[in-house]
Amino acid sequence: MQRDSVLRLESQHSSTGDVRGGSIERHRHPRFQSVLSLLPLLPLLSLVAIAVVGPLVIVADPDEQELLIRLQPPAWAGGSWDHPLGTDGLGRDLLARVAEGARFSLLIGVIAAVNAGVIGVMLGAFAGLAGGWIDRIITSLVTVEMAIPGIVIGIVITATLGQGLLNLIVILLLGGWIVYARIVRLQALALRQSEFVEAAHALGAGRFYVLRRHMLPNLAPTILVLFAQGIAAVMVYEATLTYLGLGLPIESVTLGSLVREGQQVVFSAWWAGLFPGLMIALAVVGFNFLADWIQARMRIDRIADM
Amino acid sequence: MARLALRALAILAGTIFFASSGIFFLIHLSGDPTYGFLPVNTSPEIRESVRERLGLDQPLLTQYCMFMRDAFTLDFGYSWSLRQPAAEAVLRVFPATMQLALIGTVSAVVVGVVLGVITSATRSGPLEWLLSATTLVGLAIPGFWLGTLLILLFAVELGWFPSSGSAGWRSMVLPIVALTLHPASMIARLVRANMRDVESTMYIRTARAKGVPTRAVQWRHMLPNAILPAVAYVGLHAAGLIGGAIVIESVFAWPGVGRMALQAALERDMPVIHAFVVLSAVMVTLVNILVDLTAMAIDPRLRSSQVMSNAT
Repeated sequence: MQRDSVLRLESQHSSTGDVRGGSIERHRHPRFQSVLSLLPLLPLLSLVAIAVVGPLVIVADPDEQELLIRLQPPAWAGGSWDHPLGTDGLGRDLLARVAEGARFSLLIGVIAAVNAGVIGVMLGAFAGLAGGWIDRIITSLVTVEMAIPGIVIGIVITATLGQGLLNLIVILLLGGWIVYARIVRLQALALRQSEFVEAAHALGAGRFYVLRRHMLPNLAPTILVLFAQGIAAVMVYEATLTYLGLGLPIESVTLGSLVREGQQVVFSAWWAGLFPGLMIALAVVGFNFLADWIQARMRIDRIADM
Repeated sequence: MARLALRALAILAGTIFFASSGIFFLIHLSGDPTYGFLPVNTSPEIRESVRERLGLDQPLLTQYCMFMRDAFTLDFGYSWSLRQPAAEAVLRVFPATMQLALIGTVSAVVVGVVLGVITSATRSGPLEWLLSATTLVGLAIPGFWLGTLLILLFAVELGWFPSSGSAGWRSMVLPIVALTLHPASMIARLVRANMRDVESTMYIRTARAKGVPTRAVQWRHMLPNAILPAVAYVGLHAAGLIGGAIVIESVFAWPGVGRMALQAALERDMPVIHAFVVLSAVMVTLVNILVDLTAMAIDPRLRSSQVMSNAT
């Protein structure tokens, strides 16, 4: 029974800070779905295709420099089909670099978003469930961190610990867990007052049994949507950091560092900064469409990231 | 009012405390701090004398207390790369960042609200489609890439505005546009959705029935009731807006704290970093206070005792 019941979220609950009850509504998944309903997933699928299949199919080496053909325009703008998207300031194949950067950024984005999600969901559910001083500590942590811009966290970690992959992931985790914690905490607070949780308590169920058996299954759709939105947010965060040269060594190939390289040659080569940025936009649209798609399928109201 | 000020101060103090503790922890986690700024081949005697002068030979707890005292008295020490007190250096470029952040936020609110109100009048059609498409693009494009695109189009191709620097109003146009698009898209969507909710209320029906012109209904009756979520959005995302200004600074070579902090991060100049973190917390607090005051000016109910934004 629990499985096919879905928590209905009041829209924009978090803007006012209160959740007005969680009425439960049952529904069945549609047995057949038309191809049309899969259309919103197209941007994401094309991103994944470029990131996963790209590096396998493209023969050009993303790091191979050919200084004789530097800043060659894309094939349709006067270049050659040897380098479909043209070459960068050191004569490296841009298509191969964009695919390589997309693979790296997607991988880091998923890893960091999932880890931040696990931490945030756990802390948020714990705060909402336990209440009292635990809730107060976690809430004030969230409040304090919301007064510090994410970029500032990146600057502090880079200044003290230096550059490196692990440091980048630490930065992304520190900046990423808050959204999950805030929204899951509000949901958990509302769930705690719902009748079926009260009934479970009355029947003698312990706190963690209630959390595992009754609350997490009800939070699952929300968490799923937050994951999809979170990956997009983390990918933008990562791109911004690497664009600024924070977190990773300067020669790493990510979408952010490719935009930075492109900006350095912006007066002679428009393509070098354009295509990596397009991939970031594709990722944001793709994952947000995925989030909307999940919401529509699970019939939960829009979770505003407020 | 008093409660509001107290709350803002408490959050500010908490932020300075947590951030300073974190920085202290990180500095000492990464080993002997003198390795961060002295050359590797410095002789042990000089290293020792520097440690003594900076108080690094004291017990950790003493150092921590001194570090905290300095943070709250805004004395962050001497920046070795800029050759002046860190607080002074950061405060000198601070107004430039604040200027960018505040103008960017105000223009985002104005553009977002106007777009949201205008498009809320029509249920569907080309106007709504246009807004959805524009805001989708606005939300999908990261600020720094938008900056690059704007430079490409308006500085390189058309030559209308300079691509960098801070000479006159012309050099502010592109950074402000780059800062505006993302929050304005979000605000336009929020205002539009809330205008729709308000539209079906009884008092709007009453206003219409007694013959108030459509435009007056929209701007005088509906907007004040529909704008609060958008104002709350600005409050909740104050840190993001300040962070956005810091990023945009380095895209357009704007002489603010962001560029100074980035340089300091790569040179491991901790006094500057520390001053920068505390100041950005102050900036976020300032924006939050402004947001709370705005919300109270709009909604009389908030003037009594409740503080409306910052709901976590």
